[in-house]
Amino acid sequence: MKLKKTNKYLNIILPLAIILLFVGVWFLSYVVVGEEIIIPSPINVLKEIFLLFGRWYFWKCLAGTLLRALCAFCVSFVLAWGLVLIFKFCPNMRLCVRIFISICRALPTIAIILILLLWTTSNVASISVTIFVVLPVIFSSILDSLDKIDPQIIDMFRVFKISKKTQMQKYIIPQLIPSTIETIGRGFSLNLKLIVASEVLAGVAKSIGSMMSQSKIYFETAELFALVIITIILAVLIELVFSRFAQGVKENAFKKR
Amino acid sequence: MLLKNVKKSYGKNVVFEDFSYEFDDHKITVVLGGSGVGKTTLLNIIANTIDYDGYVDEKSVSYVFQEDRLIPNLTVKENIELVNNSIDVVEKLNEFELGEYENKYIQELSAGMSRRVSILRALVHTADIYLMDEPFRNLDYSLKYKLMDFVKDFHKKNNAGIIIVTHDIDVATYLADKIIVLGNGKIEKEIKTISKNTREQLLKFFISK
Repeated sequence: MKLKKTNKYLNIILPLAIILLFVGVWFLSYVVVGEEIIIPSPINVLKEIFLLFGRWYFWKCLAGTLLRALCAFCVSFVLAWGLVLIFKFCPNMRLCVRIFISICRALPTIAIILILLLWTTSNVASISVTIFVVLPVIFSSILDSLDKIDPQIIDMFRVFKISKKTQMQKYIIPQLIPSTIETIGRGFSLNLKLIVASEVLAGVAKSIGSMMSQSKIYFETAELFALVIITIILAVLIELVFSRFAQGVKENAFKKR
Repeated sequence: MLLKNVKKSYGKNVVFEDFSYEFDDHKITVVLGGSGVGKTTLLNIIANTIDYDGYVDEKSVSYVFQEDRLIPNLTVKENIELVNNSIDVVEKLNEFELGEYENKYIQELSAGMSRRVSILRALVHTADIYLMDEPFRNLDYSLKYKLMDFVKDFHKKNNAGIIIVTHDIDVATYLADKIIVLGNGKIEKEIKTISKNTREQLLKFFISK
């Protein structure tokens, strides 16, 4: 009990200590460099964050970025599930799926964006590149969670002639839900980071990426830092919320009735 | 339950070359034998959970697996209801001294309790043949005999065919109507009538090997 309490405090204190250390190093660098245009002070960046929150344009850009991230994630998630099902149930197609995933992993992001920009809009280019990068991650994650399904239990279902519907309801879905929620959290967080990067590269209008590009062009370093911090916080928050939710689902499944 | 010219191998390891035997549909047959002689494989062939060559009668089976194979996210009661939801599960659980654990999850049970749930699940399922792989392991002496009595009663009431695989000579002599000893993919010994001397007879056979 005491150990649990100590762990709980450590879980709060350790991340806080790391953040404080990071801010400390940042502040020290700011003092040493002494150029607001190269390294802005943490206080100015904090002010800039609140200024951004007050601008309607920022919210519009954020909504656009989140929408693109959601769109890319949904397509990758559905595609990954489709590929996993082919991989699991069509042994002849396994090699093709493996090769496709390896190609996705090896794709040079910048080169692909440049090629896609020749053929399509910047919007589609940024979403497509994100799909190619995130797809292998989600694919592996789904395969890992499917490995948690015990084939011996599936054999037991067959012996006792338990219907496929009951198998799904009573065993397979409850086993897959927590890991799927975790995959969604991790995947969406990665998606957000990638979509912002691809927005910068593709020059997508009304996006966090384009705001970052503008800040860089006009040497508004404090705003650039503020946008980066907002993106990091958003990605971490998404991952944290989904991981807590998955933990909650797991605990709830085994709660005494 | 007829098995004819059954062949089964795992890679180069041949378990059954040309195995034939007819199990009595209304008797308790105990299969004895050392480790790795193919006792579990034999049950899996009958249950049709593994691939094999040859002929095996197709009958509905119920199975106490070597591993309990209970569903971790379901309670004891739900695990039983999964195979038969038309019985009074609580009454059955009480007969197995598991009444107070009906709402517990499997990881909250001891190995012996999980074993009892696994046996109960197999017995409440309606089938032609009941297969049991080391059903009484992890059970203390008195509970083991209580459950063996339960299996005996079940057999009397249902007149069902039961095939039990075990290392335990006590289980074999207490429950069996017939005992077969498996070795090298063949039946090395068959005892059709169980008497007071059977235990000694089996001990002598195993020691002489």
